[in-house]
Amino acid sequence: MRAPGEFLRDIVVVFVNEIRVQFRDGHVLLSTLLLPLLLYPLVFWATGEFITIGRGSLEKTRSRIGLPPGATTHSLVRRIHDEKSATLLPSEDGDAAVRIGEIDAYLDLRGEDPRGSDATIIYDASRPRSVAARDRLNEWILAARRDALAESMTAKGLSASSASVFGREYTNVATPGQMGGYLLGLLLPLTMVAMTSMGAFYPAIDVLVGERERRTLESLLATGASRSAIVVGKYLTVVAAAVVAGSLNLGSMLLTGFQFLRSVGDFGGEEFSLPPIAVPTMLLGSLLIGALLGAAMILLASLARTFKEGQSLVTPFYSLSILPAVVAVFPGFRLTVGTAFIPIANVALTMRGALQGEIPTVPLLLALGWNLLLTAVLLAVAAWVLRQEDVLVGEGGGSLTQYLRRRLGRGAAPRAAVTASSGGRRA
Amino acid sequence: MTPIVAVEGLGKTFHDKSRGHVQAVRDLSFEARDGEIFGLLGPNGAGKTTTLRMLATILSPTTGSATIAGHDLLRDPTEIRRSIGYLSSDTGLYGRLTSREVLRFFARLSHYPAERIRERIETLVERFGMAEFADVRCDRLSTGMRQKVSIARAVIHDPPVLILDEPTAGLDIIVGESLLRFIEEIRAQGKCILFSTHVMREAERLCDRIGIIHEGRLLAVGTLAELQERSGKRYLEEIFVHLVEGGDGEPI
Repeated sequence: MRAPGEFLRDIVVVFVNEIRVQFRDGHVLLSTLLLPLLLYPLVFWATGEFITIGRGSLEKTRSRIGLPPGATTHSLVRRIHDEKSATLLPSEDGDAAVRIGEIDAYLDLRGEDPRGSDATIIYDASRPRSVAARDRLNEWILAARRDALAESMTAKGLSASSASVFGREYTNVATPGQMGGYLLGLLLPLTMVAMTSMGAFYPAIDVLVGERERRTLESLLATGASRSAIVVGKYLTVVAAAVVAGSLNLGSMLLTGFQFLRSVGDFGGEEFSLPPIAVPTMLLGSLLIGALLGAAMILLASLARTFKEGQSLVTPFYSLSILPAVVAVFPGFRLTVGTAFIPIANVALTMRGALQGEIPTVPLLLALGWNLLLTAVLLAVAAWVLRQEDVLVGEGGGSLTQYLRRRLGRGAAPRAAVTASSGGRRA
Repeated sequence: MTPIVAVEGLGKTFHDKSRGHVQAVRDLSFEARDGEIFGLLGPNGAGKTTTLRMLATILSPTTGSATIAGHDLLRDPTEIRRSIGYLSSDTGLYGRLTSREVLRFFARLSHYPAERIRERIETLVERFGMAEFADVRCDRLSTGMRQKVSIARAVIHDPPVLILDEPTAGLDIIVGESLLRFIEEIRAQGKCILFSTHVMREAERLCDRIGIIHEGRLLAVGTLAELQERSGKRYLEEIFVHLVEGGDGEPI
């Protein structure tokens, strides 16, 4: 009987070797390290720059405001005429002129009252310049209304301030932590799931199919290590790669995401922060996702005969596995007793809840237990498939359903030598 | 003397989609002793590789049993794996590891005493003239260099039994000759070598005893002299053809 220490030692030896082999591979380095480290800083920097440049450019641009011919005497028009950021242009057909971009917005004044009348602003919401012109016109009209009312009150011997009956101000009660959590919660869980899954993708294929293609699997199977130790060591490598990718993604997103939000948002000069539970929960989520998807990917990839076949087996699963995490983007969904049983979605919603500082205990425990159960079932199936001799020697057939159908149809096919004897000890 | 390898009635049946059940090896029995090179000689598809893969515990036998170094093939596969070094002609190497890293990995996985691993690696690096490329990644090595690393990998844990499946296939004359000399050298150290080949001259030169295998059956086992005497033929090629064509060779 082998000592448990030997089994653990073999797992560590396989794990360390696999980590070395995997992290010397260009694909793994790209998907696990470089993509999370470089992608977000680059994307956020580029987006921030574009937004800043766009805003600056709009602020410097004069808005071309179209007016009905003859409206130049209107008090509002006279006021706009004095604005430096407006150019007034008479136009017969304001709608058409806005549509073709000849002007940015058209101020359609109704009524002849030179002191004030209703106005319609015609603009094109698909053009930032037109939207900026609409906002400017709004401000000018509000200011003109305020002045006109004040003037009217003064003329009647009343104070100008008495005209302001329903003034308004905004006070955001959300803490900086809540703001950060809300904004990052829309994006971070989905990308964490995607990047964690991406981190597991290549190693899951390479640890078995890659060994077959390199023709190293037989020599590995002929060593003194048990098959179980080899499989566990390889599985842990896949989970580790997934968690590394997820963690780097988290760090990179937090650093660059905060910077981005500061650069493009106006949040009253306050600094963002996150609830203390957010980062540990995100890392735990990455571990759960890596463990679940790693087991599923290894199971699928084990049936492939070549790396290419492994990619075709795992890629559709990879794409599908990210889909449930999309629910975290929609504010209406929360982690409940019901959603706790939707794999991947439950982890994504837990992550979002942690970012927003609200994780309901019962659904959290259900989600955790359900994920662990699913992972255990997938690992058990993967372990069973990997003990089959035809899978070990690379004759899995390239499809799980075909493989199971063939095996069930064929009956009890010989298992790998490690469990061949009824009286034998499992290696 | 107790044989270190004893094979009794070993058989293997595969399921093939187009051919149904195929008996790759049938009722194979032989023994091999310390300090002996036992050769399995047969054409491609004769069942040599399947036999050796079963003895290396990579495949499970459908029938029969075997013991290696006192361990039962079915009950103690892990102990058997620790007692053998296995090398086949198409064995690959971890291209992203250096030769030293490959040797260290297999030494640790074969439970070679940790405190002696470094010394053992250096001994093999020197023995095979690998010093110049021992720290180069294996995917940058030539075929000959890779084969040297593969052999060193197979013997890194100093096993009492070596299973070599057509180890010289695809090698040039110089590397092939170097390998044959190494096999003779480890025989002199008292190791048992199970060696498969379809090259008659290799079998004649190396093997103390030869098992002639054809279509999964062992047609005859004996020393070259015994086979010559029994068949009345001088050369191994003639003996082989004589047996395949229904000669009177009797398995020992």
